Amino acid sequence: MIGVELAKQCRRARGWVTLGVMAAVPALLTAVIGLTRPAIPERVGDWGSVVTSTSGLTMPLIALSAMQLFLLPLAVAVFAGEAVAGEAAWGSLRYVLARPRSRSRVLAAKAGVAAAFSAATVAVAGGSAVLTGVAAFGWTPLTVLDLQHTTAFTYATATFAPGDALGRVALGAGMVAAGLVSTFAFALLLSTLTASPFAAVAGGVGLGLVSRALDNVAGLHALGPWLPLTDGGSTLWTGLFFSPVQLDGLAQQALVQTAYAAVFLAAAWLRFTRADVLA
Amino acid sequence: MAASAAADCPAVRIEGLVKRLPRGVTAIAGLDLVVERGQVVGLTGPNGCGKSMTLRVLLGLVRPTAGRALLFGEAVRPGAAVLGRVGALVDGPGFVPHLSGLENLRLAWRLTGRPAAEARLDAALAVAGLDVAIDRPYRTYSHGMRYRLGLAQALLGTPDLLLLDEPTTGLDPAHVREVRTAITGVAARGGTVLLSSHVMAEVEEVCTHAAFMREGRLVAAGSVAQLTGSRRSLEAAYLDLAG
Amino acid sequence: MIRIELAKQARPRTFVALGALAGLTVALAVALELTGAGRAEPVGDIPLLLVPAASPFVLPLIALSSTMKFFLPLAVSVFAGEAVAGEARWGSLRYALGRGVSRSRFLAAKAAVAALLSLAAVLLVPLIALGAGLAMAGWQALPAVDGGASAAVRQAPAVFAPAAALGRLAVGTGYVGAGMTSVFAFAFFLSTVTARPLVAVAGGVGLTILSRVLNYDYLPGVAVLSPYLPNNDVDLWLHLFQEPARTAGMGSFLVLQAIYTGVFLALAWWWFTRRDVLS
Repeated sequence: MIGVELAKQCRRARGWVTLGVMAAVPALLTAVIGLTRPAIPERVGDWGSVVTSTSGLTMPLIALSAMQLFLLPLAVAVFAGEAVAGEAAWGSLRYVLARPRSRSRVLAAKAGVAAAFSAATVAVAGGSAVLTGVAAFGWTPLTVLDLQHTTAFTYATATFAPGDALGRVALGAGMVAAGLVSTFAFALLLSTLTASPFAAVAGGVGLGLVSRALDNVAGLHALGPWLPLTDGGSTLWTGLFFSPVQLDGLAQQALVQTAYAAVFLAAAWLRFTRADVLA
Repeated sequence: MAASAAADCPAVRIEGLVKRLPRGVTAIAGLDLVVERGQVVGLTGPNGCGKSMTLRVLLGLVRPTAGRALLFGEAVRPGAAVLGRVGALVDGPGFVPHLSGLENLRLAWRLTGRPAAEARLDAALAVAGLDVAIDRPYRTYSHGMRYRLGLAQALLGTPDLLLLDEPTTGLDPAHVREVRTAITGVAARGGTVLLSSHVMAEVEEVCTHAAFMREGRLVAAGSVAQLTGSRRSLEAAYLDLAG
Repeated sequence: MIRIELAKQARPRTFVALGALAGLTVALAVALELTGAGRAEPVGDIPLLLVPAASPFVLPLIALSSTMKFFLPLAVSVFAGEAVAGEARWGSLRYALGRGVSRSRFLAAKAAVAALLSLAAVLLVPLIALGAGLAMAGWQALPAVDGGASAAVRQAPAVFAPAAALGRLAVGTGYVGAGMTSVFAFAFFLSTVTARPLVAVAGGVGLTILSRVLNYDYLPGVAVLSPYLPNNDVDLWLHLFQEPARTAGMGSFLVLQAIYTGVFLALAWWWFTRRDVLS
């Protein structure tokens, strides 16, 4: 079943174009920053800043935090939203399901392939940022300025050897991916509910955006830790780049994302296995 | 259930089937129908009488509100094993647009879980009659080509049961003839065909038996000859029996 | 013509959209009440420090500034996007136009009703918040502390008499409403182009988000575009609550809105009167 699903999804332009865009954006950022202002500190997350010209490993930090709010959720929502709604739109869903294959298996295969592509988007974005960053600015130690502890008299910086920094980048990318889990699950749920892939994608992206907007509403900010924010509310993963590593709020976010995802996935499974297929 | 899996159980058995849709619409209001092996049965009646919904129930796509349906003695459920022996064309063909016709057929066959050797791909391709176009993406196909591919997909692996929903609607005479050839071919090999149609003349020509439906119920069933009796045509019989 | 359109639009979706806005406003009021209505909340970029329990006008300010950047554009996009694309999707567009109704009149009626609903949305938020505020604080003057000013100025905050505060709130609401016109016009234009309302809605929201994203300093060099994007200065009306009121930039914002609105509405009219109706 996974083979069938892979055959369907690997051959279409959309998947590769999306991955291509994910690779191109960090490259574009590298080029623009490199050409215009490489020596000026760039904000990374809420409390850090890096100077690009010092190390190519600053690019993954900049790129991932820039893409985390909209572009990455969009890509993930595209893969998840197309999974079921795409077949319904093609009119082929009924033929896939009128077969001696349990619906759970069909959904699992579709979700699995979509998840693989989604994971690939984060990997590609991060990888592209690392490659272009290092090519442009060099494989040198990464220095992060800790704005929270910097005063008028002292700079609080943390410096990491390139290999160490790369490891943290990989970990950070993993955390970025974890933050996209609720978007994936919601888009998949919508995919089982509608025959319009566009609606599923829009809804998936909308979840993150509405969460962000609600978080920005003064007075409701206390709700923030309980919302499925795609960037953890404050780009939590950049805490990996301080010394010592700061990860407060991470456990909370992981829990929230998992909870939302579990609910959405369960609902999607229920819907897919039980509902009448009229498409 | 060993007895019902024996070679003499009917191809299709529907008992007390009821399907209610949200908002109080009753699509099927208590249907009992038996289709014996080797028959070509035409399920006929006006639009909205529940024909399509019945076929969808038989494919495990729609869950009945009450009653049950059995294919070759096995209860129909989503993912039931017996669905590997059924070929269907319901509500038009549906294929993956960016893959070629041939790839689509191959993928469709893989989903049955049966070995590739059993696919009888050449026979299906002959029915599709697409020549070179079989290697072009499905989205480039015309309406007629798509339809023929859908029919070919239904005929993959010489199905024991063929379910067709309004098979000749909108087709030109040449294609209509192909569909009928395919149907008689399946019957000749001992397979069973259940098709739905609101064109009585077609049912009269192609089918050995007919079942009249009206407002979600079965009104009359029997061989075509039986139902027509002394009336002019099957259509007259329908109007008489079903009002 | 307008009456028919009103009847068509009296559907669940309309009420859900308006209800959601109202609900959000109420939730905001409740949240502020629960977390301490006696505490100063920072509002906007200035920031204004306002105490909800001190004046009924604080809640409307907070509510309006919280919703103007995302939720109001979303509601407006929904109404504008549904206007024509909704009929196209229902398949009733061809019959509505086939009856010898002039296309201009048809479009005007649709635009008028969608505009009416959008206006209702914009008015709903401050009105409900004002109601809640009156319940909380009674008819009192508004002390507005300018958080960006020096300590000395902050000790003696500007106090607006109730009538004056109401007047400035009304002007601010009008300003926000004007700010929504560009989103409205864009979504309305998209509505005439596509048969999928969701695309039009996504476009309207997308324009808003694009305006805001390009305002950030992610891509240096691109920030130069931001004065020409329609939704960036929608928060300038908060400066009305400083003493003396600073209205710099509001004029050019309004002109920009007028331009965008004029262009897109003209495009919508031109396209709609000329296009083949194939849906």
